[in-house]
Amino acid sequence: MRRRPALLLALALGGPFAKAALGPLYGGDITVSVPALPRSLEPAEAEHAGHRLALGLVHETLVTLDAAGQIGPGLARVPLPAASGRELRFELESDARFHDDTPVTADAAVRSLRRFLEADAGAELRATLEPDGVFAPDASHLVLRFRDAMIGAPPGLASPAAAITSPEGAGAGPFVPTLSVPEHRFALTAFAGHVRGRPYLDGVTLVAQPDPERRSADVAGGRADAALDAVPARPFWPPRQASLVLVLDASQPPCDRIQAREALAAAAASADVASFVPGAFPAAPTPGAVPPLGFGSLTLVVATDVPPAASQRLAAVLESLGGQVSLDVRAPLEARHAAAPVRLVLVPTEPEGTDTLVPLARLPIQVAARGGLHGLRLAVDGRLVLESAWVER
Amino acid sequence: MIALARLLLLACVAPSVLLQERVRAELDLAALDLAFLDHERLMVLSDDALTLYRLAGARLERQARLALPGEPLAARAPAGLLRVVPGENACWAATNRRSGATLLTVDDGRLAAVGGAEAIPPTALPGPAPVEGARFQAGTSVLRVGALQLLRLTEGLAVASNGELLIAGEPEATGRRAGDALAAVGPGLWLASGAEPPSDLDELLVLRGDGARVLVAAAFPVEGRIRALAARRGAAGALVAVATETPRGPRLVVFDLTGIS
Repeated sequence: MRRRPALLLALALGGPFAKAALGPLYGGDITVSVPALPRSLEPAEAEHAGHRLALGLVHETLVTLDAAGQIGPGLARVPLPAASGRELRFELESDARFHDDTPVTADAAVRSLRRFLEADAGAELRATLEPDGVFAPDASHLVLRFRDAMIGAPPGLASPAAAITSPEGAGAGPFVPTLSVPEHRFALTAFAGHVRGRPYLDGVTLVAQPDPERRSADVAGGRADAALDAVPARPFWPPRQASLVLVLDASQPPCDRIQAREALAAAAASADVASFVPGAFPAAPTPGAVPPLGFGSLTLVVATDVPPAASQRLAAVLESLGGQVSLDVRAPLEARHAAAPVRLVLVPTEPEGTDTLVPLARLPIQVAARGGLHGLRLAVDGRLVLESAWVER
Repeated sequence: MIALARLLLLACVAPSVLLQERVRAELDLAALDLAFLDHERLMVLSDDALTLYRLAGARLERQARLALPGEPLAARAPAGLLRVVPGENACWAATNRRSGATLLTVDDGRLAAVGGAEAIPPTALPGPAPVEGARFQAGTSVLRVGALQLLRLTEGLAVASNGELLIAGEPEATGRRAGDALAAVGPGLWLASGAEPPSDLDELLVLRGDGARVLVAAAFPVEGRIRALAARRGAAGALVAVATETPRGPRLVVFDLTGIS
């Protein structure tokens, strides 16, 4: 029998002996300082980061977008395609409830989605649906019927404007609003019946503070536990300023030709992918004339944390300019270092390196947080997600 | 380096306590709790199933698995509790993602659910326990045992919901904290996970009771986060099972712990 003394193994591990592991604790309240707060917590297209955060706390959507932009379950499971891709069938989670303790029903979901489709925010999705294309075949299912075959659920369903509410207007998000001072302060308490389980935190208070220096000072002075778009300072959580970058490896064909690199860079810049990624803004200058692409087919390696909307938009533009593009999706680290001539990756800071780098967009994500606050997550649209946050005690 | 020095210091304090790896295996389901039935058989509780493993030399053989009855429940952090019924080849199992508690037996290498209750009954809990038994607070990983809110309990020691150790229901005299994995090795001797927030490494603490205090007799770094512990006392030491959560998936390591007499 092979025996290994664990103590010796431990010493051989090297590096600092970081300890773990008392996991998430239930309890505690946090205050988040945000640049602005909305007048109302009604479902709507978010106008700013504080609005997005507040709506994400109070409301829940049929499906969600994870950090990689993939569709995940919300009040419903990830939908199954039917009718050759022209229908999406959503099954509601059986234990999903609203804040007023009424069950989330298919009727409530249909009514909420119709409200969304009638608003400007739902116009894009409305255009893809058949007339009366939202209906409930029974109490626990909802069907969307499209004019053409769809691949997966439309990301618009994860918009806060598409949140599902009860007939009385109650939300189903992880926190229940208890105090509302429009545009200034919202206090919320944990919703025990949330579809993914009670949040760890007992409560969250959102406070509007327009001055970024003061938001930063709020965290430094202990008046807030986290701040959005604050002036970053240690020991706060490092700012997240992800750049979406197209990497062109000049050592490999076709990128070994300067003409090909110029053509690809110009085509990528013309794709304006920032317009297709919620919360992103352009990082590239306005392109000039786009030269023709001088190659037939191209494999674009895409990191899994790149929003699919960005890679699909880029691929579509490259194809429209005469290339044939296939996507090769890989883990972020692998994609960054793949031996492939063209890669689309997210990098945490402004890109540096010897490859030709074409910045396409930046995700304006900057969060300052005090030590001892764990479980903060950033959604793909830059929304700060607090539902699994917890504080050390 | 400070921690390394601390480790060496601990080794000096308890030079004879030694942990030797016997079995290392990958698990297909994350473990929420562990319990030895005897020196060869180990129960592993996951979200909605109980699995029986047999230690076969340096290998871990899966003998049986049974899905837990009960309705699925939403809980953000999974948690579970296994309580072996001594001498009965049976145990009570409860998780916060299934309603109720289940009494399971092992018969000829097979698992069977033979009873159920709303909570793990007081007869299966250590020490004097409230008549309502132990159950998970709805939607949380917090065990409600009478007025106590616990993350874990075992014979003589418990971890409160804020990580504080409780001896016979009272806070440990020095306010010592531990992680949410705990197992009794014998009277006045326990294993616990470290109390710090999650990182890539955890620590396995060997704790010794000293009246109203608990002393750390030894500490061993462990890769990944310790999710559950089990121990079985033997003539020369104890068999220790450690379930961890690592970036590569759930793991189970069985050690021989010696020098604890």
